[in-house]
Amino acid sequence: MSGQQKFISGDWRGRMFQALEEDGFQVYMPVKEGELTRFKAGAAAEQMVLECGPTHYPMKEIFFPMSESILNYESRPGKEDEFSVPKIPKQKIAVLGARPCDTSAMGVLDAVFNWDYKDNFYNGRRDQSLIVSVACTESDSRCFCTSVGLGPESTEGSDLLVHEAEGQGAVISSCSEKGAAFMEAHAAIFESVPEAVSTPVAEVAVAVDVDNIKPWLDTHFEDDYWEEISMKCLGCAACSYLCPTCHCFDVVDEADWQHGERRRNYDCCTFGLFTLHTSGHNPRPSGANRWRNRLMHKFKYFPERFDRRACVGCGRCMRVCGAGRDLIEILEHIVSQPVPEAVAEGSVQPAG
Amino acid sequence: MLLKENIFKREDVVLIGVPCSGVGDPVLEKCKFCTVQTPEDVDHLMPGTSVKIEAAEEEFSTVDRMEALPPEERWEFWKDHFERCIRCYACRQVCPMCYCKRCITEKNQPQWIETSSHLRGNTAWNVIRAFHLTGRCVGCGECERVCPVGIPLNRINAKMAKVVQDQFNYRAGMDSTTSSPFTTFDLGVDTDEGIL
Repeated sequence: MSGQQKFISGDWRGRMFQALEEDGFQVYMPVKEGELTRFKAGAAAEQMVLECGPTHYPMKEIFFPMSESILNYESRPGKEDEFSVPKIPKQKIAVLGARPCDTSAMGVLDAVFNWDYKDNFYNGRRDQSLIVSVACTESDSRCFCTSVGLGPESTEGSDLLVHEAEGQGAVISSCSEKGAAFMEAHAAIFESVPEAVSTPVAEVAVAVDVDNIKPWLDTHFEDDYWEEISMKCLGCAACSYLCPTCHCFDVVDEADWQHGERRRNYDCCTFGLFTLHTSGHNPRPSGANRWRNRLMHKFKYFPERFDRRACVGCGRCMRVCGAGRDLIEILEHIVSQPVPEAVAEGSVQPAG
Repeated sequence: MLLKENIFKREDVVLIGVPCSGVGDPVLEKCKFCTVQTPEDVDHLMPGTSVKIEAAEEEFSTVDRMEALPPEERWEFWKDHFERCIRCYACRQVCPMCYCKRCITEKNQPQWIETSSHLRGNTAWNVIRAFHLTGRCVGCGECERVCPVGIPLNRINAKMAKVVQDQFNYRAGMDSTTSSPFTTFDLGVDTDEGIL
């Protein structure tokens, strides 16, 4: 968990930002894009916006963008065909001002992109990154990190965790070797934590006992409930594309006669086309099948494969749903269902 | 509109209308210009009264203001918004007039619209969406409401509605019998050379 604790007095944002830039990092921070908050590089430290809850767009897009080029090709008459793989810039990436839910989600992405195949694009950015998260001082009714074994000051995925100290500065905790090394290298901006320092942390009530979800999922692949919850779903991908852990993608070619580009774009299991075979058969023909998959993936399949849940309780899916779909309500319903004892034993998954 | 496009038969549905005094708090923009507070051609009308909401300005005044801007500024405006589009297709999914079994953005032989959420693909998607709904959009405004990144789609819808109003004196969704300008083909009327 968190290692060394130090203090930055006064303008911690400016000092951290400067230190990160001195180390050659391109610093991504949550900034305003119109009405919305999004991680952007190239902003000044004072543009950082730390609002209640997570940013509108998740941090994942820094490492796993919505659309990215993965191959270029060219074929001209009389010339040899050419192929080139876009290079990941050597530029080191730092994230300053992430929320603990978003940083915890990095564990989900790290697992997937280093599973059966090591993804060069993701890892190329991730390996040289430093993530500085800020503990939440406020939460809203959609925040449910504590229900999925996390919390407003979780350190998973963070190299450094900041606790803002009401106008005095901030307490910085190192949460990884990278974070500790950074603290050491910039010892000049850090001081000992003063005795009388108040670092308020948000209280996020536990909405559901998440350990009870998987046992029900294990035994209810066929259930009328899937139909019931799918009725309200529009079948768009807003919840998934803005989810910090969703990671499914499609690969498309965009080309003219002579040259083209292969791109990796987000894709989503709520679309009917997602599983449609060329034969015309669709193993998930209905919204009920697709909703079952979405929930099963987050709370059953992913934990079985990677020993952790694919939900960090950020609540974005509920904030952006045009149909008012409420994941907390769904989870509450599931945990209220009786589960056979034999199944309940040994099915509990670790937190996270 | 759906009856006009033969999506279902009138006798196969029972329509229950509800008198309306506007929805939302504050009341939604679309309600300010609504001319039908009591639904027509319904089988049952729920009891209740309705009140017409008075708008402070003309229906297409936002469109007029946009049209008054130089093209570069208009493009800057839409570029900023389209760049944000995440291609989640919430606008399509919620639209009462989007019912294609396979949406053009999902047709890939050939690929009509690039599915990548880059400016090129996003602009193509949003423009095609507007074109497909021109003269068909009933102005419910649901697309803008559900857009998770706040793209002001009602401005596009209003622009298209204004064009159809000016050119064809037609409003989509006001009845199920008047010929729809873009889905009706009449050899007696459409005599333009090269149309066949």
